[in-house]
Amino acid sequence: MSLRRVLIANRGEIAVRIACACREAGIESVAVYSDADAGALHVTAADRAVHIGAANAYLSVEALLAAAQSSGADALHPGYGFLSERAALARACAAAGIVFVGPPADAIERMGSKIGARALMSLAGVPVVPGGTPANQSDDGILAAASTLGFPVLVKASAGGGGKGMRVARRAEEVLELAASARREAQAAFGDGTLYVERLIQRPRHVEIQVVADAHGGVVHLFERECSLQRRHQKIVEESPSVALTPETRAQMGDAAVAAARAVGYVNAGTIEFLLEGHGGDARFYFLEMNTRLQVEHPITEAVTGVDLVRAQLAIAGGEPLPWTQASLSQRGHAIECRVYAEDPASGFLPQAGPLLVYREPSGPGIRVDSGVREGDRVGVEFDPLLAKLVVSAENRAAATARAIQALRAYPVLGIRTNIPFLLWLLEHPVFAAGDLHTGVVDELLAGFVAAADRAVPDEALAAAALSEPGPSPSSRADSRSRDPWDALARWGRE
Amino acid sequence: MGTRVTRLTLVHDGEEYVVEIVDAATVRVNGRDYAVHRDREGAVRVGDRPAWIARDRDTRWVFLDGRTYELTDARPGSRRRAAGHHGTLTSPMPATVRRVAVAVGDRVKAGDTLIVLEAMKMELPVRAAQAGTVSSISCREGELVQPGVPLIELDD
Repeated sequence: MSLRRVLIANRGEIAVRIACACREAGIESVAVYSDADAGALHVTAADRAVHIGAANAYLSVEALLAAAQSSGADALHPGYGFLSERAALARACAAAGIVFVGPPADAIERMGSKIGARALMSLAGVPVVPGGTPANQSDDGILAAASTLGFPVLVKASAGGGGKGMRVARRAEEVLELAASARREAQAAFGDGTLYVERLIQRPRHVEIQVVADAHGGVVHLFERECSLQRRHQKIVEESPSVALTPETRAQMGDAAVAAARAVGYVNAGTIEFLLEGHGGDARFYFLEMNTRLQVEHPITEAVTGVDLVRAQLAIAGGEPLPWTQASLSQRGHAIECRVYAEDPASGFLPQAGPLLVYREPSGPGIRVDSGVREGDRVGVEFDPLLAKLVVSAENRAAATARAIQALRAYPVLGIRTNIPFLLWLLEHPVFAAGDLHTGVVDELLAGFVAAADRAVPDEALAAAALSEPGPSPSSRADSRSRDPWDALARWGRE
Repeated sequence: MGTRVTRLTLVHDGEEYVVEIVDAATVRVNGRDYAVHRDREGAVRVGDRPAWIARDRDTRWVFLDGRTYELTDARPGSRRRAAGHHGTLTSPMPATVRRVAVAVGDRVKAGDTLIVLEAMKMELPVRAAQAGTVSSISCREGELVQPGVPLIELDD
């Protein structure tokens, strides 16, 4: 039952990526677009396109399902973000007889509940951060639990699940001091003073394992991606392999990820995120959560394993068995992904809007750019500010780093501020070269970036600036917006 | 040969730079002549370094070696007004004012957070680009602000 026509329920670079995979697999693709996206790259990348309404239509199960039905699609690919991890979409597809290119709805649901997923993983033998709700809730009981776990520990409200009432205790005597106030805060916030005690993982790395499962019981993993370079849980730079893993740890994490996928009856591509404590022979890993969809950073896995994950997703959704065995998969070389965001690193990473007056992607051996925009496009602020992903691969980490740096230096984006200067600064930082990463490292380094910002303009930049006047050529691009055919249509009363 | 040298005064981050266009292939900066060459659209070479340029209304955008510069032309006699304008901070997009972290009369350093905006579920700190004194605040916590509308003003 191979797929015939896939509705891509997404926009931007991932919609373009999926359309390419469909074309290569001989499957028709249908894009969806909001009012503002009528002229967007992803619309032209697909074989046909359906208008779904205003910007929030990308979040409407009804609108997407209606688009799938009106276009005669027999499958729907959710991409990432938007509704990709909403069980309701998977369920609505199943009810309408449309193949959801992703996991079954109940697998999404089971992994969507943090507490439920943790319990399920524990049962499946996947390590979780040690902790629990002590039966003895007296100060002595909390202290005993903390001592068993080992310091430092987090003491927080058992109800809720957020950070309410959360305290860090570094020594036994601190537990006694903190327990009372944590209990009061938990009582005030949830009407329940029950406390939860958990080991605090200090300076953890974010290391995730790609898994792919078919509908016939086959499950494999495609090794790790290290995503420790993040800001406010937004990943910035990812790489594979991770310098922190020994072959033994890698194999253990792979096995754990496969066990996790099996435990929820997973089908299609997914990612098990782990916190990694320590590195090398001392590294320990703990289940964080599962992303029940394709990841933004999937290309680095493709680069080091040589597989096409979206093609595999389509094949699996079409009922085919996995095209690989675990033994046939291996990692080769090193890949780094840099996320190019329309954000101004000099002003707190404010998302930027404006015209892409110049947008030229770098090219060369080992350079791939997955992009959702092209020169002349106008970037708005109603969606995620991700413009493109620069993915480089080379034979080792140092070579891949050098390649990424040179590619960023040859990636002019003008008309809108981007994080390219910040990406360069990060890749050139000794901390990155040393691979000494943890999830808080970007925040630690950020102050240095702001301080190091060189205000002086090099002579060459000034000389170049002089050329943009008088001169008809580059300056005329400023008008590219008003020459956009879609704008012209709008003036003629297009709906 | 008697060619007229065109003098430009460009402003970047409050600093003025004088650039002289000597002829179609030469630009003088800081007393040094740079051979310039227009490549395909938007691409130029300065000496042997590639750069990209674009013009958006008053802004001259330059990309050189991974860094981007935004320069404007200094207008004769407009220096004082330009300086005053520089101290006005606006929101780049529709946003909600989460927090006003300063009061009128406060001295602030470059990098100090003045206002925290929220848009697209993200907190966006508005920071002082340079040291100064808060001379006026024209937004309130909880207010929805539109792009380009002044939020806060700094005097040197």
